[in-house]
Amino acid sequence: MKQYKINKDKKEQAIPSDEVIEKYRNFKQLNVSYNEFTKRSKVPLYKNKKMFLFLLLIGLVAWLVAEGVFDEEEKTEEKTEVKK
Amino acid sequence: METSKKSRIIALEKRQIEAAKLNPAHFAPLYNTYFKPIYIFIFKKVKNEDLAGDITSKVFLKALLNIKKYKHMGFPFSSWLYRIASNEVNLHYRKQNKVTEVELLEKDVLILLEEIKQPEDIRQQEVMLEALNQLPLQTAELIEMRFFEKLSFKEIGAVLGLKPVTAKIRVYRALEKLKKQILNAK
Repeated sequence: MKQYKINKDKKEQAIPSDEVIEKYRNFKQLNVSYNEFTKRSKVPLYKNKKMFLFLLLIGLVAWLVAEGVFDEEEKTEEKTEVKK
Repeated sequence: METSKKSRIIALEKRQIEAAKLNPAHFAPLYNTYFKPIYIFIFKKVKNEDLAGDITSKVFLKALLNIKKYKHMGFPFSSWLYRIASNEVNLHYRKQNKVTEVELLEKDVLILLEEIKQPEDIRQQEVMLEALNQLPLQTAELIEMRFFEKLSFKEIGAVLGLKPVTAKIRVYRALEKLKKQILNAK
């Protein structure tokens, strides 16, 4: 929503000169920003501290789950052998 | 002669756009052509050199990121850039505050009152502001672009994707609406 107000003290601001505008023209910077947005990071995921911890956590959980499953299987195998 | 020059410029621009779609480095000619007009357009809205520079950078970054989606619909490429610029300025104000306060110069208000043939006293200025605040946003923005940001009809047309003549008609219709609103308020 917009609200229009009169500012009686304000004077008209002149349009900046060509030199001032040139100060803001920077195609190289635009290319850098574009690359930051589009190109993948060159640092591998595991070298990123946070990502390394996240990957470690996933690995740990996977290992624990796998251990739990193997334990269950061993127990059931032992039970069937005892029954025999 | 004039039309052949114009069509040559349009053809060149189309080639530049296609090149930029394939390689972002080829966006440079378009960037260099439109940087100044877009900067001035934004400056007229925000009235701050650094802020205008910052928003202009964002406009060109958005344009470069989305140039692959750009399709020529009969409007000049600048029209697309002006629309991105207009949206970026609105986004900037929206981030800052829910209600955007637009400060007007008294001189501009007097010119507007003269344009709609109304007396220029203080009471009338207040009535006009009230009427302007009650106009639909699109109508008020037409008046704002023409009388407060001092955009040409060509620039207004570029922002709205209209021919300058159509933009002129829309501005004068907006003025009629404003006049009606003032008369109703009295």
